[in-house]
Order: sequence, then structure tokens, then C-alpha cells
Amino acid sequence: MSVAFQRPVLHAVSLTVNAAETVAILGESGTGKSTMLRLVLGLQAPDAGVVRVMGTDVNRATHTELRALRTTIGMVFQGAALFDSLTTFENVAFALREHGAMTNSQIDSRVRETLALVDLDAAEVSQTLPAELSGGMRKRVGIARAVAPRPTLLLYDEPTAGLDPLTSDTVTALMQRLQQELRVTSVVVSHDIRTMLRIADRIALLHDGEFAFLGAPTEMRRSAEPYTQAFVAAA
Amino acid sequence: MPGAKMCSSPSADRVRRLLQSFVLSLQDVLLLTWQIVRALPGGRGAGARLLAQLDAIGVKSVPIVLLTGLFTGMVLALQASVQLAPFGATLFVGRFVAASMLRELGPVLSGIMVAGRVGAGIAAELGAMRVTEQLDALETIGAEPVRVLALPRVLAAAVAVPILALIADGAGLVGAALVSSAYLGVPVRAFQGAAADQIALDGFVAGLIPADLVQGLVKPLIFGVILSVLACYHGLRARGGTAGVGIATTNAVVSASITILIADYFLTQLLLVLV
Repeated sequence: MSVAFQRPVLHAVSLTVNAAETVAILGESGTGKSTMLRLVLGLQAPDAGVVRVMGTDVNRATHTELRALRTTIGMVFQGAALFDSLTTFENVAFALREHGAMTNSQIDSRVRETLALVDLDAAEVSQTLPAELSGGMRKRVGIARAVAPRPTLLLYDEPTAGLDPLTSDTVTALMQRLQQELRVTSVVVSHDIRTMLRIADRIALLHDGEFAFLGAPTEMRRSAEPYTQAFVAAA
Repeated sequence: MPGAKMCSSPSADRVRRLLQSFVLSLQDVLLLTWQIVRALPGGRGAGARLLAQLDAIGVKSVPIVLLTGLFTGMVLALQASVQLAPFGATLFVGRFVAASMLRELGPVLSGIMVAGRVGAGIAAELGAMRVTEQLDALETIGAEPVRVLALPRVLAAAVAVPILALIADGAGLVGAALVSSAYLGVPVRAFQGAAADQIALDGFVAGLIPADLVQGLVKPLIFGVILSVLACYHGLRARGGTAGVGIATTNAVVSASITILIADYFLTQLLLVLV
């Protein structure tokens, strides 16, 4: 698929993500990493090409089909994007209420269970507003909101950006644990190569609108491609 | 002529671009209005969202509308007395104030005050949600921002602004009655009688509802829709961080205030024919 704004951002990029796999999309700022996630969610349409998610062509899907598809996808935003006017509990419960398949007591227990999954004490944080949480806690609540409906596909946009090294490690460990416990397919957009080499099954490195490298982390370390070598060396 | 180039002056180009931009914006506003209508009845939680907005838009606007109405009525009474005193007709102050408040000032002032208070708030809130990716987060959850955010605000404004206009009317009449009684020597009962005479003189719709009241309710209902749709429009399309939110807020208030005044003229013409 291809995408251009004032200039071409993605050019003839092709990527298949398998079930239960974790794929990291790396690259410098402005290379179109986050745009790829927006394409998967149907928030943006490619200028050319097809985005297919679990068999659905995102750009040809009807409103109802797209809505149904999005209920199976969780998205963790770079700045968490928590709803400021809602408490932590209501943020995590929002998608569950919106999808309308659970009773209030089921939602209550799912929210508590999910907050525990991201190492947050429900009794302590449930009634706090996002503005009262630290950066690391906001990120964890953002992850909890994304995984609460138990999605099939989880998208992370720069999950460790802006966090101190210790909190960054905590979030990384949390992502690994979620992969193991929920067996969810994950696509992680990041520029943090050290972390991605640890947690990804495959890595795609974007450069000049194309993949300079696509393969396993071990292959990436051995790659002879000059840009890939430079990117790995800079880690 | 073959090979001739069409030339236009820079000012003509600027006017053309402005017109194009206006037509495109109008198209987008109409599209948003249609999307809001299509989002009815609003899905799960629509009642709770509407109640929350009725409180934010309606109940919390009561003090500002009350004060605006009260002082406008007081000023109207003083100004009317200046015009009527030379003819010894200060007893007719009630008529002057009733006609002005119910037909024009109550609806227009409520619309503009709510556009300032609520329109700015809606545009700033939605704009901040846009630039912090909260609107994207809503969409990824499958909750369309138009249904979850715009619809309850527009419905609440359509319900609240007419009620606020009635409150402004009442406050204006009370203020005018107090000034008339205190400074013009017109007893409150005489003021009341003159105001009631004016309402009766303006006629009744279906022989029952005062025509002044119909005008005084239809106009603010439309003003409520105008100010809330424009506020949602500017908020939802905010771009460029906090500066973009500021621009969206200013545009929401300015465009709503101007549109209300323009709409008021055409509505008055229409209602004078119909009612």
C-alpha cells in the first residue's frame, strides 16, 4: 500500500502479520510508522493498495463491518489518550459498555481483573481521573482499556516513549506478559530498537517509505543492509 | 484567443478562495448536521449523556442568562421611558419591554450568551480531545464521536436554549417592572397590565398560544442547534495542538454569534408571515 500527504510517506509497503505473532515496526520519526496503525484501524485510507484485517478489507468495509472489526482490535496510544472526563474505572469499562455484550457486574469484574493484569490496584485507582495519574500509570491504564474487551489484535503506538528507563522496562515486561497470557497478535510501533529486539518475533524497519529490513531480531543483528546496520549500531 | 492566459488580480483571487472556503465549510457543517440526525436515537447510554449535557449547557447557564435578561430589561425600561415621556406615555413601558424581550432580546441574547459560554466550552473540549487522540481512541473502540459527543450536545442545546430564553424573558420583565416602579412612577400592576395587553395584541396561535411566545421559543430552538453544531464542527476539526484548540474556540464563538444574528433576521421575516 502507499500513502502520501504533502510528500510520499509509505510507498508500496507490504506486511503480513500472523496470528499470535508480535511484529515491531521500527523507524525514525516521521517515517509513517503510526500511519500504518491508522491504516489498520481504518482511521485513514491508503492512496493505493489494500489493508486486510482478519479477512476484512478495511477500506471497503461498511460502517457496521468496520465497527464490528474495531471491537476485535485494541489500540494503545502514544500519549495514552485516556478520556479526561472519565475516571480510570470508566475509561477501562468504556469499550465494554459501548459494545453492550456484558452486564454491569460482568463489566465490574472484568475491569478489576484487567487493572490487576496491568499491576494496578483497582481499589486505589478506580476513582482517580487521568490527570491525577503518573505517566507510567496512564500508560498502564491505556493498555488496560485496550485489552479489557480481550481483543484479537493489539496495536501499540510508541508504548515506551516518554517514560523513564525503569517505567519503560515495567511497561515492556507487561507487554511480554500480556502476549503470553492473552496470546494476542501484537503490532508495536516504536523507535526503541533495544526493547523491540527483546520482545518482537519479527521486526520491520521503515526507511524512505519502504521496509529496509523485515525479519527476525537475530537476522536483523546480522543484516548487511547499510541502513539496518546503522540503525542497530545506534542502539 | 488561442494561447491567451486568463489573468485575475490578487484581490479577486483572494475573494474566490474565501468564497470557496466558505462553501466548503458550509458543506461540511451541513454534512455534520446530517450525521447528527442519522445518529439518533444515540445508542446505549444516550439518556445519561443527554442529562449530563442538559446540566452543563442548560442548568449551568441559568445565572448568566438570568443576569443578562434582568439588566437588559432594566435598561430597556429606562430607554423606553426617554422615548415615551414626552408624550406622557410612560404607562406603555410594559408594552415596549414585553414585545422587545419576548420576540427579540430574550432569544437573541440567550443564544449569544450561550454561544459564548457553552459554544466555547464545547469547541475547546472536543478540540482538546482531537489533539490528544481521544477522538481516535473513541473511534477505535467503535464509538463514533458524532453519536457519543455531538448528538447529546446538540439535543441538549436545542432543549435548553428555549428554556433559557424564557428565563431571560422573565428576568427582563421583572427588571423592567422594578425600574418602572422605582424611577418612572409606573406601578408594578400597571406594568403587568400593559405587558399582558401587548401580548394579547400580538395575537394567539390556534387561539391559545401567544404569538410572541411562539416566536420566543422557535428562534432559540434554532439558535441552540446553530451554536452547538458550529461548536462541534470547529472542535471536531481542530488541528495543530493547543494553538489549534484556541483557534477552534474563537471560530466557534464568532461564527455562532454572527450566524445567530443573520438567522434572526430571516427567522423574523418568516415568523412574521407565518405567526
